[in-house]
Amino acid sequence: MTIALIGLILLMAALGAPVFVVISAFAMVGFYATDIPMAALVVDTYNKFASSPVLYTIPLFTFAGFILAESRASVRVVDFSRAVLGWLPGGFAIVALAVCAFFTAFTGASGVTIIALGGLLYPAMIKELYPDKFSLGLLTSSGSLGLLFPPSLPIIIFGVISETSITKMFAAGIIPGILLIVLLSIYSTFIGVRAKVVRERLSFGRIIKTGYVAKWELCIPVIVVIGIYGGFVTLGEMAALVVLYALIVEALIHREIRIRHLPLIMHHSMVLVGGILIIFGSALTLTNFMIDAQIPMIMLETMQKLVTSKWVFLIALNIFLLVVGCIMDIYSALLVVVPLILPIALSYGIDPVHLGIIFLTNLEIGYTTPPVGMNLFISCFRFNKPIMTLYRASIPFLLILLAGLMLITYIPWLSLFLIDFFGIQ
Amino acid sequence: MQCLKCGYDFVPGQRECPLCHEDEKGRGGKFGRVLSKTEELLLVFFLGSMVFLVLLQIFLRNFYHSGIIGGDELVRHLVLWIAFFGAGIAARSSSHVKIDVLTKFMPDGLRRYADIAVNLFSCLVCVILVAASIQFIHFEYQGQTHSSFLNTPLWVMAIVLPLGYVILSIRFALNSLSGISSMIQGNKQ
Amino acid sequence: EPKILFKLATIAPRGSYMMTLINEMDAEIRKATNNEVGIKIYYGGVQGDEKDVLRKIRLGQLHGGTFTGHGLGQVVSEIKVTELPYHFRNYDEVEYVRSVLRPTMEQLFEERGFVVLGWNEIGFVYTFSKVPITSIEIARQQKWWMWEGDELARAMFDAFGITPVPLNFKDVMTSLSTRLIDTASSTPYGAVAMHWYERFEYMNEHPTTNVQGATIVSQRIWNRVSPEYRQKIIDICRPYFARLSLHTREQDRKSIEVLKKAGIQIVPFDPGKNQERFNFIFETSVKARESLVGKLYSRELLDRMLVLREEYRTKHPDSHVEIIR
Ligand code: NA
Ligand code: NA
Repeated sequence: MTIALIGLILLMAALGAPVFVVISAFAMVGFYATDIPMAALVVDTYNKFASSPVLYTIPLFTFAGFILAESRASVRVVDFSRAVLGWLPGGFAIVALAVCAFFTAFTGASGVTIIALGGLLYPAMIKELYPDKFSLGLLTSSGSLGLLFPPSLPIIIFGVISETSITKMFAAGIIPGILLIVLLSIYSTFIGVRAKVVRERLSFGRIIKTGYVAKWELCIPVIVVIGIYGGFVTLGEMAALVVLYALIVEALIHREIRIRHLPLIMHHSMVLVGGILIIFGSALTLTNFMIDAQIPMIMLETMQKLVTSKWVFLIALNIFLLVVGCIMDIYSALLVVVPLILPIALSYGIDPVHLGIIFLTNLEIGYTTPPVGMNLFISCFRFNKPIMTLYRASIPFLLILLAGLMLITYIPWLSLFLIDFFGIQ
Repeated sequence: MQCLKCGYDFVPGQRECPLCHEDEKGRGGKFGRVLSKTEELLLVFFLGSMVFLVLLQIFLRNFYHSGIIGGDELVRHLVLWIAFFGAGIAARSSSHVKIDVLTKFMPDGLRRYADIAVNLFSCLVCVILVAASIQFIHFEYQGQTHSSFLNTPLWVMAIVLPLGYVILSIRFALNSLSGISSMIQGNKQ
Repeated sequence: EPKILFKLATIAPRGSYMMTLINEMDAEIRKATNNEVGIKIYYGGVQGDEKDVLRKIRLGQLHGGTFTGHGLGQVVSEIKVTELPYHFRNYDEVEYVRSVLRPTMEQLFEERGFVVLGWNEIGFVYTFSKVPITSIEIARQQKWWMWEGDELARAMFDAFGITPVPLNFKDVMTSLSTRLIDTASSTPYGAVAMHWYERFEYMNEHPTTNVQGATIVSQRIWNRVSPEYRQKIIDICRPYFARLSLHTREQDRKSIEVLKKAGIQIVPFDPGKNQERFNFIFETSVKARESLVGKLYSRELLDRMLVLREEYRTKHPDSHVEIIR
């Protein structure tokens, strides 16, 4: 009976049932075998939401990100980055990487970056003579680049599940995030030189001019970092202040967002937040079952017998997450897997912050792994290209990101340096 | 402004993207449209209140060393309300995250059957969750727990659990019904 | 596997002394009841905060738990009368009052559907902060943690004119990092075991209150136990919890040394020199106490507690305050 039910759920998942439905259904099967009342299916969803002091920053930061995405902020930021980086061989590709990372840090790898910036960046890249396949691959993988930078939504959720300090997590992601951008930039430079792309002249006048135009938006990362690490405000207050700031800049100063458009922006951003938080809620349900059945403890004991070295464990973990990333939505997988893996990782002496960065890097990669990678489908829709083209276009980028993953996994220093250096708590 | 669902640039005067508009409103005729409008208004109200409350708390804490009693609890519950109403709207246009490995490579006819099956299955799961959350609310009611925000009973603040799952069940039911009816019409032709 | 398994939960960490005791206790119970009753306990708050565990007991996923006064007070609010801040001077005084009131409390737990397996003491709590709190004005400028749902603490903060930040126990550490809070109360052992002390620089020498603990089990599962075993189980459990209390006091004493070594400075609070402030604090705590009559406990119970305390104080005129030096 149980096996038949599990089979049915797997079939429905493969046929396109929403992930939150699939996870809830698994929890139901789990609880069905016990004599626990069905209210247990929702109790932890309520408990966690009603008590978490940071979860509310997710709707706020996302709303701020959507305000920026809806205004012409992207044009201003692109112009400025172009003035600064455009003279490099492969400069515009690097601009695209940096700008995508900036927006994804706010909107999560929801595809909003690809949708909002694709129309601006793709034609520009083609115009500058970047190869079509390269441009598609770059924009597709950039759609999740930025997950490692504050105030990224998956970092906050990882902090909530693993009870890790979010300020630590934010700091930990910065060097690995830059590393991935640098690796991709090196590849872009190589392609840029080979394709003889248009290079711009470096002009300080232009840097100052474009910088002046984009000054309000360029201040945002500075405000976020100073706000969080300067000790003036709490994370939640920061989120609300960023919303207020974005509203003042885009609606009052630039006048690109009309007040009557706000409901629509709120609606779009909260549909995204709802779609993610409901998966989080269902993952909490499944976790409740797993903890009740003491599955994490059983797994811990078995793993300790099988795997004796921390490094072997990390290899196994990465392979597991990459395989998961190929066949399913890795974000939901993380929500289910983190509570199981965390005690094991701790027993091998792995820093939970480092573990978080490994998970998030895998998450970033999972968004572009065929056959199921959300960014691939979104690009497919946005650029109107066949999915097979995107599969092929994203392969070199995937290989580079994998190399980055290896570095991030086996050099914990990359994740922990800033924390140790500045003594971040 | 630009539609963040499809990237279409539409005139500033318009309130909704003309391309996504129909899809956005979802299926289910007049009832569906009224439900959609209500959901949207409430969602905007919840997010608006959240932004306002947090800003007010910052103001009170920094200038008066005080705050709204239970304000934190209210904000955390608002996340729950936003999550469920947002998820309800996502179900309209079937834009929930999914792992559809099989359907991507299926012929159209077969995919329609799959869609109906999936919507019925999702509806069933949500109905079970409705029952579970009604039971949960019942226990919470019996437990007589109160929030410190205006001494509101917690079951009132948690009522979004059954409510949200009811909305989701209705959406999945409407989606499967419209799938079935369009298939019958297709067969007639 | 025993026929009846009590599924309990606690926020106490795995690997603590309590775990060793409970394992021994479980073995003894299984033996004494011919494997009819056993205990399975979830440590480290994996089942959630105390109020979450109570919620899970209400719906039947769990059967009980080892709680602090915070969780106990949500079942039997009257218990808070023996945790009133600035009302108890030392271990012997508070233990004297509690031991006399225990049968009354157990009766109340029974009325609300619970059986008390054993009582233990969590200990005296002190205020930890980032700046020395030497005046009420400084206190008002801090962001105080309040355990969410604690009515007694709420009344105290109200009386002092402080707006606390209500949080779950498990969110304290991360909220100290995000600066949501900067002041919290804890036993010395708790501050060390939870690593909270790494976020603080100062600690007040005068305790605010003494927290108690108990392990309770819902009547629903208790009534399934064969009547002949019920008293037997309680008789087995009680001495274990008494041992736990003594061990906790010992751990608190050791923890104070750890805190001092870690550089936590102790803020002196000499009633002789700060008579005015001292009076203000005690008067305010009386005000808070009075505001809770009829809400948490009856006037009758409060008076009884005060009479017992006076009884102890007359018998021990030279009893000291449990301050840290
Ligand atoms: Na994105
Ligand atoms: Na994938």
